[in-house]
Amino acid sequence: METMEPVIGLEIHAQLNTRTKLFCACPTEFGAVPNTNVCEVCTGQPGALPRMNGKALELAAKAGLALGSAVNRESLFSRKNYFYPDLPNGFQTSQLDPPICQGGSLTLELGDGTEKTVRLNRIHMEDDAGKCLHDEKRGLSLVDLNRAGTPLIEIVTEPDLSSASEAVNFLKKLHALLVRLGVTKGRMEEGEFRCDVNISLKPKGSPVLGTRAEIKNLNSFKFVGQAIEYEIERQTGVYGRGGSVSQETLHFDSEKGETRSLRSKEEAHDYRYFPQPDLPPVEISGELLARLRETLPPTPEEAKKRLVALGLKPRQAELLLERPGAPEYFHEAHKIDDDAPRIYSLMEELFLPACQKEGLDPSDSLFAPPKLAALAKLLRDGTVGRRKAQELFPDFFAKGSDPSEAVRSGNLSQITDPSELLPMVEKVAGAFEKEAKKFLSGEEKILSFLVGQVMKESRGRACPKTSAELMKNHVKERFAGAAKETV
Amino acid sequence: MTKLHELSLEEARAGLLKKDFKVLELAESVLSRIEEVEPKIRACLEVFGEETRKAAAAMDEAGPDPSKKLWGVPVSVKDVFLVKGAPTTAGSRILENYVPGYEATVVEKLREEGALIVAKTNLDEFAMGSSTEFSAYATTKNPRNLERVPGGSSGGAAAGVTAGEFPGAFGTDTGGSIRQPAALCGCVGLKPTYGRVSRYGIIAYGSSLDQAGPLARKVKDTGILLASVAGPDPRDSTSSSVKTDDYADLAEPDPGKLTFAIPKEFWEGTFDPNVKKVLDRALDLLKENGVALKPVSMPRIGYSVATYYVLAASEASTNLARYDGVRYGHRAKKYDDLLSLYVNSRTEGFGKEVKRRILLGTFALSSGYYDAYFKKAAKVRRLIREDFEKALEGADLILAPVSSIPAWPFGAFTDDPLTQYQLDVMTLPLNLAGGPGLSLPAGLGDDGLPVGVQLFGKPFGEKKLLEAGLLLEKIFPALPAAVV
Repeated sequence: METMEPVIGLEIHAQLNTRTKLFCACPTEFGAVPNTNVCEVCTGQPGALPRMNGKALELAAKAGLALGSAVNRESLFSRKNYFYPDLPNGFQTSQLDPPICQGGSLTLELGDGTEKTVRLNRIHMEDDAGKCLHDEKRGLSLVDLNRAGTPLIEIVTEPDLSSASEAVNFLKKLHALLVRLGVTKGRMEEGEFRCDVNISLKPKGSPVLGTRAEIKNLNSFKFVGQAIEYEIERQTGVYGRGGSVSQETLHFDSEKGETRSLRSKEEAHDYRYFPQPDLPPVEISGELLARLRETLPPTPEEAKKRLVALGLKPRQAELLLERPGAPEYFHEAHKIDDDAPRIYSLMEELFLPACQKEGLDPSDSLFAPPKLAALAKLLRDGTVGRRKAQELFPDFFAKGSDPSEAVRSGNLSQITDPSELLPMVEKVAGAFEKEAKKFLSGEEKILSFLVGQVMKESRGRACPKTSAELMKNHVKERFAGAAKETV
Repeated sequence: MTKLHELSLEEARAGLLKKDFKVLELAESVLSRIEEVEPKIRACLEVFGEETRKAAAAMDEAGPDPSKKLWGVPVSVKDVFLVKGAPTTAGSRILENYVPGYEATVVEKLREEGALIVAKTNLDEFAMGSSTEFSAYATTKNPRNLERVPGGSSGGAAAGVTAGEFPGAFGTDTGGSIRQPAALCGCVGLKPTYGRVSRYGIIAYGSSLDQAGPLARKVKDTGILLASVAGPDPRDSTSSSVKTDDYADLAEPDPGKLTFAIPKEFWEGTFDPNVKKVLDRALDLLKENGVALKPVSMPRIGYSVATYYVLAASEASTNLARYDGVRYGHRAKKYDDLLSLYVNSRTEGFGKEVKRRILLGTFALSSGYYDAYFKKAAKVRRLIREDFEKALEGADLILAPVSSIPAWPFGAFTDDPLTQYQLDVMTLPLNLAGGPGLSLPAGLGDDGLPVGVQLFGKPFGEKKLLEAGLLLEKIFPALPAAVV
């Protein structure tokens, strides 16, 4: 038998990051009590009509711009007709021709250092269905329509992928991009990013595609990988036995790790698409497109270059780019204080861990970038010490206080002025004469004890470095003679 | 002395504002007229007696508000308009126990203008039909002759207005459903331009064709009713933001300066002799009064029936998909699985005309037939629209008959859908083109049955249309009040 190679295409559904549904004002929040985030529009009441959510349109267009798609200035919604209990209107409102975006691509770095460009066929908008819940005990099927009408984009690739790992890498990269753009929140466990896989085998090098099977609704990268691996093996087996693969829709059973047939080609729906008469063509103005283009963040490569140019190490830039919202925060702070390494280290050591602990997006933190920039300045000019900064940070972060303001009003600054420190040094040296003399006799470690006493005396405000210098000199001056006597 | 329920809407409103009589007195008169004739006419599916009396008394208490266009005026709405808390059935068993949780924009606006929603009127199931015989609930009689149909699908609205049950009514017109029953009963009916009146909260039949509009006994009254509800609605994306005119402030035009296009495709067909006689007389009267009649041709009108039934049925087939027995409406008592739940509920819930159109539309949208039917019909629709534009280039308005036959006896066509579809040939083209049309009585035939004509205007030209309607109302012989 000839060697076969897999041909894989993906259809990705991403939930758009909007507060309200695609065609009504109901909230899109996840996890609400069933059938509470609903109205006449999203439950398909008689006489209800859809109205387009402008924010959804912007996000869909933004995804297209970031992926190099052509954004259609005028696109059209169509009705996709089928019956299912979770589909309140008896049709899904989707886009057939023309969709909001056509074409585009995403480039992958392959393991061997080469690159592969995966072409996109299209991106279109559509509304999500509700959810069926089955109560086996009571023998009931229940419908929750909270999700019905949630805005989605479907991104359809060309069959350019040829392995499970390529498909998974593609999905990860796409997911990261869309999350970074704010197009989707991408929470896969909540179904905000899910994927259908089309897969067929063909003799290596042949231009003719084999019959494809479609695996529906995979909601984790792991399952995508497993399902593809399984399906390649299954189809290889079928061909190996001299059989033929039939065109069908499959379900991936993640527990058993295998695919199962949902319906064959003969049972496929005739969706009877036709233009949705309740919605005029969706128009997007040149001005809006231009504005969206401006808000587009740079590609990861560009973003990294930018950060390195500002003075970060490549690895630091990468770490920052891995966290949603962090690069934007960094740039905002950097606009005010251009000490890039210090801003980075404050973010890395204090700010980002605090955000993570609170589950906050950096942009949502009360401790806004100008405040972090102020803290960087206080550290650099020595007004606040490193330890002090660490000690005060949780309070700054929680209250969103301005550190320079706090320093001014709360008398929190470090004491570096020798004339202010000296009386305390003298007092400590007097009180701990024995220890001071031990230092003079060469027991250098005891200096830190003495400085610690100065810290205590100053209620933590003394600059340790200056205090240590002053202590050394003062002890020498005060006890040098006496020490000799003793010796 | 004239009874209050016999007053025109304009007269009733004026009398209320002048305090000649109370809102409650008018309401009582209307309600007792409804009580008197309903056993014979059956125009209403629901009468809001108590609510009307209560609201009327409250209005009397508060005193007249001249800023409201319909202060204290009772009006009815066809049973496709959602009235919050009141059963809304669309004349179908499938919505037998459906009580809406929200209100149609038209109903909201009527209330804002001070109208009293006094009744919900009968119709062909889901507005599919031209005789109101396809209602699942009642057979509405023509007040001019109780043996005859009132027309449809807004048959209850037209019959009720004509019988003096209410001075004004709202219906919907997808293929003539306001204009044809108005003509067959002998009252006035206006189909506004598509998009002029919000469709929000109106049970959809053919979404790209449906348009709500008023029926009344006088042209002026339909203008007042339109003025109360016209305008854009953020909840209906297909409603138009084109500026509204003051449709209540109408001036009769100079007949010598008017030109009506007379399209031969409408006028040269076969007519019932009684109808023909009234129509010929109407044309003579117009000429005598100095209106210029300009013969024109609208060559694509002949394709209207086929085009309309493909498009309307296609849209209907998916508009009615939501009636599946899952969330509301009729659910079959017996079913074994999901499929039989759907099949049994819909089989029991829909009547035969509705099923026919769902099947027709489903077929026309099916893979392999879409291009031949839906897509082609959409193209022909554009050509028909062009015919209207051309005919209106050299004329103020187009004048056409409404129906080639007068109101027919019950059962005449119920088993012959194709013939009945053909009867709509004069009214369907306007819905395909999208513009406004006004149907008004041209006189009574020798058989005692009314004959109507209709005027078509340019899109959003309702004011001009209504003003010409005032003139025709004066020129044509006035119809006597219906004796019921």
